[in-house]
Amino acid sequence: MAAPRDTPNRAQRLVGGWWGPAVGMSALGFYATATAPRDEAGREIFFNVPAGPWAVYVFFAALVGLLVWGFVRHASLWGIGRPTPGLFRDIPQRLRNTARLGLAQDKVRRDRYAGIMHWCIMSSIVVLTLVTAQVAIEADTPLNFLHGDYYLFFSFYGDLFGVIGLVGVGMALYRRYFADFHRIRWDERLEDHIIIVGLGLVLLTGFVVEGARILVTELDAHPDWAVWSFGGFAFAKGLEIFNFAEDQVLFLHEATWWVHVSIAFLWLGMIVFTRLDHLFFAPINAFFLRTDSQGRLAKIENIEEQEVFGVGYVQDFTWKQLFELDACVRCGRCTDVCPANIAGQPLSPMHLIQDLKAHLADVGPAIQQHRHEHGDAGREVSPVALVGEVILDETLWACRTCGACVQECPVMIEHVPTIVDMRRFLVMNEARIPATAQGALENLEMRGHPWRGTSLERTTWMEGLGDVPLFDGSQEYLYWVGCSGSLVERNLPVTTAVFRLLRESGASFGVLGQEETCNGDPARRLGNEYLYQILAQQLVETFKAKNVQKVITNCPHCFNTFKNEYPQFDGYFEVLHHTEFLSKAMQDGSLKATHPIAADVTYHDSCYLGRMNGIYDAPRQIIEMVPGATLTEMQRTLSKGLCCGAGGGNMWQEEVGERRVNHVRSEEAINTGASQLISNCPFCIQMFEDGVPAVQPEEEGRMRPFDIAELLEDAVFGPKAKEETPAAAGDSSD
Amino acid sequence: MHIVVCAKQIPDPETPPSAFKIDAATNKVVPAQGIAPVLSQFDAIAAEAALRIKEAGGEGKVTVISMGAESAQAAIKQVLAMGADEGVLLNDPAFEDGDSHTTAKVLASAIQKLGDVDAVFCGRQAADWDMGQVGLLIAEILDWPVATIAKGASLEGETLSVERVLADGFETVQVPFPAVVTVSNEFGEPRYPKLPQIMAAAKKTVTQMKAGDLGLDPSEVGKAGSRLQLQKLFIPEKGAQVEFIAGDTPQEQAAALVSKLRADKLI
Amino acid sequence: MPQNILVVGELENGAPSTVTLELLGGAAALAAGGSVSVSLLGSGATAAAAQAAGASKAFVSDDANYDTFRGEQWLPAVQAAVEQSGATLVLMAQSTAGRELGPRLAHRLNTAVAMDCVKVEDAGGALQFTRPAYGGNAQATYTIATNPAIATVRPKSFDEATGAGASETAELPAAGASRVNVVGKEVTESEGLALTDAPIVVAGGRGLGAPEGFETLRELAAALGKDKAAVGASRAAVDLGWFPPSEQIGLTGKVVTPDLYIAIAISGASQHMAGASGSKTIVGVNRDKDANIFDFSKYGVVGDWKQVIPALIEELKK
Repeated sequence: MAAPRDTPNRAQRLVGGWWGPAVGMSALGFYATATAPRDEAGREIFFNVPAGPWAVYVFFAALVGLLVWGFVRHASLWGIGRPTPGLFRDIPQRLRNTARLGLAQDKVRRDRYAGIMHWCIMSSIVVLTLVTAQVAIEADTPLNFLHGDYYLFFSFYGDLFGVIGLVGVGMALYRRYFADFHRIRWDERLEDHIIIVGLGLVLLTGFVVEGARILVTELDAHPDWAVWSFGGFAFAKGLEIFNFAEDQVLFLHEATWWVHVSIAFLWLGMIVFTRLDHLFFAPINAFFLRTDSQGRLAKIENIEEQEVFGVGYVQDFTWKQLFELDACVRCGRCTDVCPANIAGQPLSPMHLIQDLKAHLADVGPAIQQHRHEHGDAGREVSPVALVGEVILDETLWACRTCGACVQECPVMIEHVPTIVDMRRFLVMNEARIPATAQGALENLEMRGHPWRGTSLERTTWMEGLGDVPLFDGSQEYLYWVGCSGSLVERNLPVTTAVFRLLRESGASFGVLGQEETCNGDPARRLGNEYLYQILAQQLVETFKAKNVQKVITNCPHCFNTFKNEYPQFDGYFEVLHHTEFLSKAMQDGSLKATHPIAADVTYHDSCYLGRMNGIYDAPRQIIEMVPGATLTEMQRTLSKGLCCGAGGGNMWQEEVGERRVNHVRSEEAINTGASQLISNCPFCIQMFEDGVPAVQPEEEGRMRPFDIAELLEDAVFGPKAKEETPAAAGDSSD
Repeated sequence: MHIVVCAKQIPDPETPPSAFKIDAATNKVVPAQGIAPVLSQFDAIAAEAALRIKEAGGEGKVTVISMGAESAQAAIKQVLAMGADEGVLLNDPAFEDGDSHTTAKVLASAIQKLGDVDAVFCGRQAADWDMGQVGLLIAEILDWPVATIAKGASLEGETLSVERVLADGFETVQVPFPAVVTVSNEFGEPRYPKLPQIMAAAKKTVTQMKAGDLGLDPSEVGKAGSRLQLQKLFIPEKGAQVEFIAGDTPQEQAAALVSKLRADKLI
Repeated sequence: MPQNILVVGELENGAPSTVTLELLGGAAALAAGGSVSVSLLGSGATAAAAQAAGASKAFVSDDANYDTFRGEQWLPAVQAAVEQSGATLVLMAQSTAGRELGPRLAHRLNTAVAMDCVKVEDAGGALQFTRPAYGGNAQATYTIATNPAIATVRPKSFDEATGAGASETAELPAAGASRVNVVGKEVTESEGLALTDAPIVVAGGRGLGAPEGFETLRELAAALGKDKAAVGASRAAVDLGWFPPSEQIGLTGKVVTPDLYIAIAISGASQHMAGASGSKTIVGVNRDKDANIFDFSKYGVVGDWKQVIPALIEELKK
């Protein structure tokens, strides 16, 4: 398979490589030092500020002390968490993540404006820190290199990044104070104003200090040096207009220097108390980011021996989960893309993380003290319940586990596992579940499938298909039909379409028929890890007993479970989603789409095929190869695609909130003007069957949801006589 | 307060009609492949009602009793997982194929053997045969008052206050202990078991009793003791296909439909 | 074979209830030369005896304590009526009273009861009782070896008796004590028949086009009988705010298993059918003859509900 289409391209990658040149420039400085003659361009360090040296070092010492104190304080809170397994596996991958996601900020750029703004500010801070460090080295070590051509170059890039920093600050100010309603104001605090205004002041006063110095020492004496510090030069020129006496300029210089240095250190000190700490925590969290699939939830090992199931007390999170709370910068990107939030439902991932962080700060020290004194877990220490009071049940249930928040988070927070951990507590420990979800779970336990009240059997779909081979270990593939594919009326045509296409392709395959049972995905997503483990273990054993090697699924949830989660149960199978198999079959010619399907279609990426498993190309290749079909993408597509609303067990829940997610997504699809909404997931199809008519009450010209296999089935075998609705034929253009 | 919950394991009522088969020779339902028997939903609700009373009272004991084969352990464990304290399985080949009367006799004997029981909670009917007799018959055998088809039950001093569903509403009755209550689905969903309790239930031993333990003679229980005799169990003929109602006008269609529904005794 | 039959009657507004008359109708057919008598308890019972068509003798008590059904009070009276009438068959309705009396009376008379019968017939000497089981998937036929046989019968199983009422009455004892004490009663207004209990459910979907459509459905339910039919909605209609969520039928709403389910302008999506497919008879009304609902329906009406339903209401009122 080709690489997913929306990994950052090369040009974008280079933008993230800003730090390369900056570090290079600094290295150049050290190299330039030895040979240059003494009387060339240069400046007196601590010019005009006799008390400067001791002040800077006192400030610096205080800052270092503060940072250490702050780190220890934070770290002691993280320390109440449980051990984090596997954090130091895959070190090369983790280092790559740190470089790409931490230093090069791949994710920050998913919002272009923020990407530029953040690059300006971050590069400015790093380069100016290096500039300052060079000044310190010049002043306090035997090394003398800030003179001659390098000094001029040094002056130039120092000023350049000062100006870049101001541009970034300007963009930030614009967004915060002048742009329309924006996600960064969803949880705005005083520190946000202080940070950005403070940074602007540091940069501005820096230029004033430099300007005053240049006015006194360079403007007349060495104008050819002065122009290299173009920022300071401009300020000097500005000051010149006022015709101040020299001692007035010197006073201005000294006073501003103190202001500049004080604010700069205060600003750096804020790292300890504000979200500026992401400066360290974001790259570290990039290192901690999971290296396995996002689609895999953690297995509770030895589940029968746990004291508490899931996370109902803050100390039951892993320390990595607690650590990443501190990385959050309240940018709101997660909430902005959260399907629940978009539909006005009671979940904001950002607020959830912030609420957890505040709760940790509230009760963490007492828990720590309790542990110190009593040595037990201290679960009774917190006066408020984490689940139910700090985080409401309805918030946890609103999550679709779609991973959009995780995908967007620029500091690599993984919200979904944290939410599911709390769900596990709700379900297994407290048994507090929405009634309909409870019904689905009970059905899973009693009947091995979540579809309460179905009147179908697992073999109903086979009627009229002739000989349906049962898998006996001799075939290459097991075609896994799934509960939705066999027990939900709407999905039977999808199942038969995939079956007919597999047969046509000449593939060697069989099905399990009555022996199929749920693989446990709904149980795991709904938080019943215990039930999941029972179901998963049983099925892994069945697969092994039947000598299953390769599995084709028509459901991305089954696909994800087999592929990413069954290895936790020692079940290693080669798993293909039908889109993968079918696109390959078309490419190698074993399937031929010969019947034109004149249809405008749009394509919906299901979360568990797209975001969780990176399969974006295969389905689009199929659509491209269907003669006559034209694809119009929705605004939110590929990794930014919006969930249909069914994920995370929400297929079996009543939604609470202003709108239904499936209505929102259906509306987005309808807005493309396409006549067919193509997806790849039985849940998505059901959600759209419900959502599209809600948005388009008129039956005439209504968009119709289909699985991609249904589209392809028509293109390979010719449109079925059954499909006599105008929309299916694609001639209902409006 | 010691409450006994009577629980029955039944073939899954949600078995798809196409998988529902009857063995004409034995007049029995053929267990559908891959479809396990379940706890009758009304009995699960009865357990919920009993547990709520126990919890409201602060202390007490709930014992779940089931008459059935070894597989009925699963139904007992399910109620234990909900929070019941003890389980009793009345498992004896002699009990098989009885009617409501023999079932009630076996259950009532077990309740008498337990001795200190204050109340018996049953489902309003078993969701397989839908007879709705056993709770009433236990009350008759024990000569206890009974309140049927409850949608609510609570302790009120020394008596039990029960809300009963009627055709046109509901009534509230007060019943002195010991008493029998049959619980209806209007009571609400049974609780979802907590995992710690599931694990505890798995470890509990279910007491087994046979006819001899209850002082019952095999001739008075099971098929031998039955008064209601099943002659034939069959799947009624069904129009496999939808019958479209003919008629040139809506009025004609309406008239034809009404006469069909009347003929079927549906209206 | 001749049977002496006692019908355990119930009073409704001072007269034998509809189902009592149905039982008397059935009794007349089954008696085959035996006697048919009726028991009536509560205020106005003696007067009502004259309206108990088909019964030759009525066992009555006008004691107002019988007005509210209490099993412990009714049982001795009914038992006395059985003994005095020499009944070999006791018929009662599958009603609140019948559900309780049947098993208890059977116990006290050392016999058995067949509950919720839809058919009682004399098959060559032995009475056979047929009743649905397994959620309507099956039917079971029973015989009762002990005497008398008792059956509770589902309403609408027999045609109502016609003709003269009981010419002879015998007095039953006044009501005794009851350990079960009725302390309050709440009658639910006509709309309140619980969806899950109603023997007939009329359900509407998005195809109704507007919330006003449910008014028409309510009229239909009223025409079918306020004590029998309830109105429900598909999730699509509930989502549109046309009907309260508490009355939603489907996967995420209520599961109903009425005898008759009339789905109007409902496509029959699986999520909806999850809540209704257990219905014993489904009637679909839809414009689209390929609508999924017809896969589940026994009877289908293809047409515009706006025309079909008012016509149906008219027909029912006839």
